[in-house]
Amino acid sequence: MPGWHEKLKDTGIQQIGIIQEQHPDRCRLFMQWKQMDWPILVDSLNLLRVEKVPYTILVDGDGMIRYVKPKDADLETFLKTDYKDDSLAESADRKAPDAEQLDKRLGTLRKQKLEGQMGLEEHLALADQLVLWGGEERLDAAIEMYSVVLDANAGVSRAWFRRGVAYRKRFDSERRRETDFASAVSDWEKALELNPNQYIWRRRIQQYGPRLDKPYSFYDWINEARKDITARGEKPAKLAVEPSGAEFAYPEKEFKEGEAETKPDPEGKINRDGDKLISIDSVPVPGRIKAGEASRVHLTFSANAKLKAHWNNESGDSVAWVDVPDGWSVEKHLFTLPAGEGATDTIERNIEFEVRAPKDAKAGKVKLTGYALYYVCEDADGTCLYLRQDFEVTLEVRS
Amino acid sequence: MRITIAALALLVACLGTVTANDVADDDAGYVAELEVGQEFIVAPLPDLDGKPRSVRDYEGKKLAIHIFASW
Repeated sequence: MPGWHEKLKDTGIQQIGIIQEQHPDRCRLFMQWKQMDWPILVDSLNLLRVEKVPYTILVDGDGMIRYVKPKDADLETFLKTDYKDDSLAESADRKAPDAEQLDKRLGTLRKQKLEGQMGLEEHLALADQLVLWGGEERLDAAIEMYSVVLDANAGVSRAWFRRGVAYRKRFDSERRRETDFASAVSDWEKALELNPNQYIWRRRIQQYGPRLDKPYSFYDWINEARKDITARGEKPAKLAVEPSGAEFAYPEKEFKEGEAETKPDPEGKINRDGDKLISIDSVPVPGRIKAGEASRVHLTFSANAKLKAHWNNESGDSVAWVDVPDGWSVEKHLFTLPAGEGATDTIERNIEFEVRAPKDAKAGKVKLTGYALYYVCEDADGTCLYLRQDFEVTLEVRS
Repeated sequence: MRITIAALALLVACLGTVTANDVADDDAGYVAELEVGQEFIVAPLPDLDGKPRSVRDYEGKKLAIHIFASW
C-alpha cells in the first residue's frame, strides 16, 4: 500500500482501504505509522468474500470497476480517461440500519418459523448487520442468528467463519464468556474444512496458531511502529487488544523442544485452589491436528471477580508446568506467569506454548495435563495465599 | 425399486446441498464480482470509528480501493 500511496499522491484519486482483519485498531496504528490518512472500511466478516490480500481496484466516478490489480500503464490510462457509464443501472442506496431497526427485525425473525432452508438468507443477513452496526450489546443476538443458520444447514461455510468472528469480538469485549475464544477457533476450523482455499479465513487461525504453520509472522511491525511514531513526537494510537505471543512469533521451520527443566512442587504438596480464586482457560489453536502436526495452546489465568480475588505481586513468581503424553513434544514445560504492576492487580495472565503430536499418533482425543502455582489474595483485605491448581488441555488428533 | 429410491434420495440430498450453498448469496448487497466492468459494492461498512461509509460517499471521484490487512 505505501507504494501506491506515493504513486497516487496529488493525482486527485481518492484512496480507500478495505481491511480483512479481526482487529481494526491495529490498522489505525499502521496508518499512523505509514502517515497515510485515507479512509478505511472494515470488513472483518469477509462480506466481500475476497480470498486473498493485498490488491488494488480502480473504480471510476460512477462506481464501475475499471482495473483490478492495475499496472503502472493502466494507472496512466485511468488518470487520463474521462469515463461515462450510462450503462450502469442506478443501484439502490443502502443505509446502515439503526439499533431500533435491528431490534425490530430481530423480533420478527425470532417469531418466524423456519421451513427447511427458506428464510436462512434473512437470518444470515441480519446476523451480519448485527455484528456491523449493533455494537457489543448485540453480539449475543448475532451469534444466535448465525446459529439458526448453521443448525438448519451446517454447509454454509461463511456462516461458520462469521460466527467465529462474532465469538472472537465478544471475547475481546466486556461481555466475554470463557468459551468464546475456543468457540471462535472451532468455528474457523469448521469454515476452513468446508472451504480450504479461503486464505483470509486461514489467516484467522494462523494468527493464533503454531509457528510451523505461519508463512510469515503477523503483527511484528507493531513495536517498530510505536518506536518510530514516538520518535516523531506523536502518541501511537492505542490498541484495544494487544497482540498475543502467537501473533508476534516468527515462523519456524523446525519444532524446537525445550531443555530439561525442574518441576516445581513435584509431589503435589501445595494446597489446591478449591474456591477457584483463579480460573484457568485453555484454547489450543488449532484444536484438531493430524499426527506429526503442531498446535499452539493459549492459557488464560484470570482472578475471580466475584470472590474479589487479586494477584499478589510481592511474594514471587507465579508459574505453570505442562506435561505432554509419551511421544509428544513441547517447546517448554515451565512458564512464569507475567507479573502485573503494583503490589496487587486483577489483570489476566496469558501464556502460550506449542506442542507437537508424534508422527504415529492415533486418531482421537488427547489430554495434556498441567498445573499452576500462584500467589493470590482473597478479597480486598483478605488473606494472601500460595495455591496450586491442576488443569487439562484437550486436543484432537484427526485421521 | 430400491435403487431408484436410493438414487432419488441422493438427488434430493444433492439438491439440498446446492440450495444450501446458495443461501443468501446476495449477502445484503456486499457481494459483487470484483471484476472489470462490474459495479463496486455500494453497501456501507464501518470505518475505523464504527461509522458507516460506502464508496457512494465518494460519487463522482475516481477511486483506488486497496483491499488489504495490516498484519
